[in-house]
Amino acid sequence: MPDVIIEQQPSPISKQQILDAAVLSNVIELTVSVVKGFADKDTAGAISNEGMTRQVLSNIVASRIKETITA
Amino acid sequence: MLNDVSVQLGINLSNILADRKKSINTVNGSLLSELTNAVGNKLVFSNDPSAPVLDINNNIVGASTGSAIDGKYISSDHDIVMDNYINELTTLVSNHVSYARSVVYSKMETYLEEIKAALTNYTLKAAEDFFCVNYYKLPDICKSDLVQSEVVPFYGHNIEMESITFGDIIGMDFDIVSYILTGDEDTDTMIKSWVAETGKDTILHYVTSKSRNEVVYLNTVDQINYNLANFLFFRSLAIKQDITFGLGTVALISTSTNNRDYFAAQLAANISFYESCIRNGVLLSTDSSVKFSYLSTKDFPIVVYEEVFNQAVEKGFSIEHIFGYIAKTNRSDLTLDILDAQGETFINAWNNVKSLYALHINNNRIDIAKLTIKMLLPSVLDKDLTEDEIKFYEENQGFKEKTIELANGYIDTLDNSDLDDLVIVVMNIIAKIAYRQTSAYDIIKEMHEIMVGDTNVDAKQAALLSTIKYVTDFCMSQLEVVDKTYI
Repeated sequence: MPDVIIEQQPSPISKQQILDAAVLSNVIELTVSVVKGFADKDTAGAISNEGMTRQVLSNIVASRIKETITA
Repeated sequence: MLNDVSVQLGINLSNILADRKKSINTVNGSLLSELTNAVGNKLVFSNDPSAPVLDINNNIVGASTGSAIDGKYISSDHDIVMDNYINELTTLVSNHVSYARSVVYSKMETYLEEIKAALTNYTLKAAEDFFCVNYYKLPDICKSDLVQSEVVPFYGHNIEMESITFGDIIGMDFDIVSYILTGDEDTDTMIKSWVAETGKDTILHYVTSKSRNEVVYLNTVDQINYNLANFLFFRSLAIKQDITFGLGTVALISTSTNNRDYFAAQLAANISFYESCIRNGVLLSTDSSVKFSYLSTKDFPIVVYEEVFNQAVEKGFSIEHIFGYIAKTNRSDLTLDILDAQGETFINAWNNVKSLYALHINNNRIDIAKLTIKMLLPSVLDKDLTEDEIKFYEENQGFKEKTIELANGYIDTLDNSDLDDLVIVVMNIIAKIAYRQTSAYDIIKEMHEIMVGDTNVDAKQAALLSTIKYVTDFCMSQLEVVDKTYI
C-alpha cells in the first residue's frame, strides 16, 4: 500500500515547496487521469474490480514518485 | 483543476523533498513545464471551496481562493492544458500498452513456446544410453536335433565354399522361409522363431548377397545367423534341386551339398566358440565396441552373453558393472571371475564416468540452448508481422540485422542458471532488444515483476499497476531532483 498519507499541512511552507508541490500535484493529477481514462477494457475492469478509486490511484502514483525522488 | 487529493499528496511529497534539502526543476519545454506554468499565480485547484489550496503568491496552504463565479466553475488555462494532455496521453499510453501486450508479448509467447519445444525434443542421452546392449543367447534351432546331427559333426572340417552366381534368380520376393523349412514340425517351429527374431529380409540377404565374401566383417551374432541361413538354404537346395543356377544336376548336387557342409562346419565352429565362452563365464563378445568415451558422438554396440549375464545378476552384479569394466579398460575380455574379484572397482569407475559425463552434458546443455535460441530468432522476428512492423522495417533498413547482432551478443552471455527462467531471456531478447524502439520492455518487465512478486495479482491488475508506473515514470522523466537552498 502507498505510504504517503494525506494530511492537512499545519504550517506555512516555503514558496519553493509550493512550486514543487504544484509540479508533483500535476504529475499525480495527470497520471491518475490518464490511467482512469485508459481505454484498455481489461485494465479498466481491473480498476472497477479492485476498487481503484481516484484516491487509491493517487496514492499509488505518489508512492512511485516518492520512490523516484528519494532514490 | 487539480484535485484536492493530488494537491495534498503533492504537498506531502514536497515536504519530503524539503526534508532532504532537495527541490525539483522541470525540463524546459516539457509537458510538465507547460502544465506547471499554466498553474499561474492564483489558479484554483478545486471547485470545492473547502478543498486545500496552494497559492503561490501568498505562500498559504489551507485557504480557499475560490474560483467559482455565481456557482459556475470557470475553466482556467491550466484546465485546458491538462485536459488536452490527458486526452493525448491516454491515447498514447493506450496504444503503447496495447502494442506491448498484443504484439510484443504475443511474439514473446511464440518464441518461448518454440524454444521450449525445441529443447524438449532435444533430449540429452544418459551415459548408459551410449551402449546399445544386445543380450544374446544362441537360438534354439542351434541346439536342435537337426543342428546336433547335421552341423556339429562338421566341427573342424576344412571345406572350401564353391561360389554360385545367384544373379537375379532369387529376388526379394523369394519365399526364403518356406524354402528352408525341413518338414519336421518341431524343427520348423524353431526355424520360424529364429526367422522372426532375425528378420526374413536379413536372412534372404545373407543367402543371396555377396556378403559371404565379407563374412570376416560380421560380428559374432551375425556370423551365426549368416552361417545358419546358408546352411539351411543349401541343405534344402541339395534336397530339392529346384534352383539350378545354370548348373547341371550333378554339379548342382555337388555344389549344394559341398556348400551345405561348408556352412555346417562354419556354424559348428561358431557354436563351439559360443559354448566355450559360456563355459568360461565370458560376458562380452570379442567384437563388442569397447573403445568407450563419453565424449564420443557415436554409440557403442555390445553383445552380452545372456546366459552368463544371468549368472552375474544372481551374484548381485548389474549391467553397470559391465559398463564400468569397459569404461575402465576398453577391453571386452570380462569374465565372471574378473567381475567377482573387482566388481566394486568397476561400479566405482562407472559412477565416476557418470559424474564426469554429467558435467560434460551440463556444458552441452547451455551450448545447445544458446544455439537453439539463436537459430529460432530470425523466423520468430518475421512471423505474423503487423503492417506497422513491415513499414518500420522497410523504413529502417538494417534494424533487424542489428537486432540479431544484439540478441546474439546477449545470448552469448547466458549461463545455465539463466535457462531456469526462459521468460526473462525471451523478454530481454524480444521486448528489450527486438522492440527497443518502443516502450514495450518497460511495460512488460514491470508486469512480469508484479506477477512474480505477488502470485495473487492477475494479468489485468499487473497491466494496470504497470501502466501507472509507466505513466508516472514518463512524467517524472520531465523533471530533475536537485539540491536546493531554501529561502
